[in-house]
Amino acid sequence: MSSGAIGIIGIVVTLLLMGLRVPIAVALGGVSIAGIIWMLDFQAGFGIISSVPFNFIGNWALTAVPMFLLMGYICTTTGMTNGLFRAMRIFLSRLPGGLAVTGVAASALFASASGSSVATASAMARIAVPEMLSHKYDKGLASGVIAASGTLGSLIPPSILMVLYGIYAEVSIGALFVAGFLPGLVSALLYIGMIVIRCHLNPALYGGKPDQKERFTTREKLSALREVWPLPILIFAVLGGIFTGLFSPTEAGAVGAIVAALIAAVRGQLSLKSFKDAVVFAVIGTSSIFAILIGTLFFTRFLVLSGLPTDLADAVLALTGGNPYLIILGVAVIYVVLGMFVESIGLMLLTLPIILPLVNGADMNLIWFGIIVIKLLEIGLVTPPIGLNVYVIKGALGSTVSLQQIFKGVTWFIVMDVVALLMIVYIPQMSLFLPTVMWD
Amino acid sequence: MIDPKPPSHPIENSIILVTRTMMVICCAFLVLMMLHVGADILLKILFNSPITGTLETVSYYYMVSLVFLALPFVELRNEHVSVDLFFQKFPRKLQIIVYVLGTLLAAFYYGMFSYITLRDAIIATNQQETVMANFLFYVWPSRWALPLGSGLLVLMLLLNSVRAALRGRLPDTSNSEMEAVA
Repeated sequence: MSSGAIGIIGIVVTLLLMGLRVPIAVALGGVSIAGIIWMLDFQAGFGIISSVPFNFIGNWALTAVPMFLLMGYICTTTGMTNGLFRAMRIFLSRLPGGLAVTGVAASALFASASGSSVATASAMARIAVPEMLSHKYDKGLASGVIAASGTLGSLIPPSILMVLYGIYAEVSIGALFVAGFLPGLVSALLYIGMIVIRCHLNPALYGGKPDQKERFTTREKLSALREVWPLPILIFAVLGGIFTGLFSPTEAGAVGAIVAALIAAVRGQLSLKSFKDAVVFAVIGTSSIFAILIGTLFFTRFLVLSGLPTDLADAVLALTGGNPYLIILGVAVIYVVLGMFVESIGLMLLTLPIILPLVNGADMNLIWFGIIVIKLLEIGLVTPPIGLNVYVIKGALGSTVSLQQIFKGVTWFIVMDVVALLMIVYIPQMSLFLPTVMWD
Repeated sequence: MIDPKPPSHPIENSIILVTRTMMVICCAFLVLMMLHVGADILLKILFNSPITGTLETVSYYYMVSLVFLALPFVELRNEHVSVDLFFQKFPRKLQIIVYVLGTLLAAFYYGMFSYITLRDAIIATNQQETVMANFLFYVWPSRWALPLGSGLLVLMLLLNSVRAALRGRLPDTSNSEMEAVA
């Protein structure tokens, strides 16, 4: 049997095993080793176990992953993120749909600090959705805004997806961080604009006119400020240090974790238990991400040996004439389909071995493409029929809101995401302008 | 359905005890990593004198150990990432069969992994393996994290499959991590 055929069988068996709830790491790694043994011999199959994992994990750049995870978990376990929504709404209550706008802003900050769209959706669903429902917000809008807004976090730095993409595609992590900033901001502004306009045209969506809404005293506003400052300070401390060259993006993770712990200590929220929980979650997260990463590395070797990625890249390039837009469209289809059942980090690691040779072949800018990949991954988390975030929200809210209502509410946000995606694709400068200014 | 407190076997208890102990070590390495890198940056900025060997210690000792030694604990908590979507639709009996077979497959994969990395660790120890640095840096001790972590993971996986096969108990498939954070 030809190597290419073994490669295709390998991909099919991997997907099949994943569908049978075999851990993704095992499906990827096991199939790869078996495939290499089939194509070559035992020595080659066992050889990659010797050479790959130890040398890859002992990698300085990768240490950013556990540190950013720790930073995010410190923010959540110390309750730094809990007061955020209630405090921010005080400043945004005058806007039509003010609570929903607050939901966008708070989720974006929360997700940026915690690094996980799914965890953000789960937490904010419990905090923000009941608040909106009690103010008679439309159920679709209230749940849809939270399902969609968690996805903003991966574009707003620091982002673990960007760290992993940067290492895998061998591009600067610092440049990716800067590149994601404008696309993330534009996505958030599109969400907010859409909410304000819809609510202005149809006040029933947010339970009535602004003059019936609550007013807040200066004192309340001051005390709200105390809840709002930590996350912006944290994000700016991390990014500021990177941009001024005080520390590298890799070191920034440790700085972020220390600053998060210090902020929590200043606010009197840092207990031994909350810190211990954060450490345990960060270790579990690191270990499970890296188990998959090792599987992906084996999978890459296996696919390269089979010649499939280059054959596939050649075929697709011949078919599309190297048109980047068609290639992006193809990638989009893959992500929307697979995004139904795999979380973003796993999905990215799973697909990069096949997608990157294509991108290299079509001579696309890898930083720009990275931003597109991350935006696509996040859209995949909310698209019907099975958006992971939507199910998380449904799980958190129980029978208060139906799945149809959430999907209906989230559709408006998907439309905005598609607009943002088209802007990112057609205006590469939106991603590349800031990195160029910063480094040239 | 709530099970009464499950009966436990001494072997079961000792596997779990070792798993938890290794997890404690991993947590210590994570905190050390944060402090070590933080101290290095602080000294670099204040006195322009970074700590020698930070990069090597953090990457080869802390990082490698924390990734591999935590693997069995991740299995204990059932946090290895997998796709639940179709599995949930299976009838109960089929679920147990599929789960036991899948877990045995995982045990085989990590068994192979631990056998080969054990061989490498013994060779590295005999050669007192070092890496390129501007000082002498021994990496052979961290080679042992791979067979230790994956070896215990194999025991943990076998334990879970025996539990499922004999007692018909599946590990809780809901994501406890996110619940806890929220």
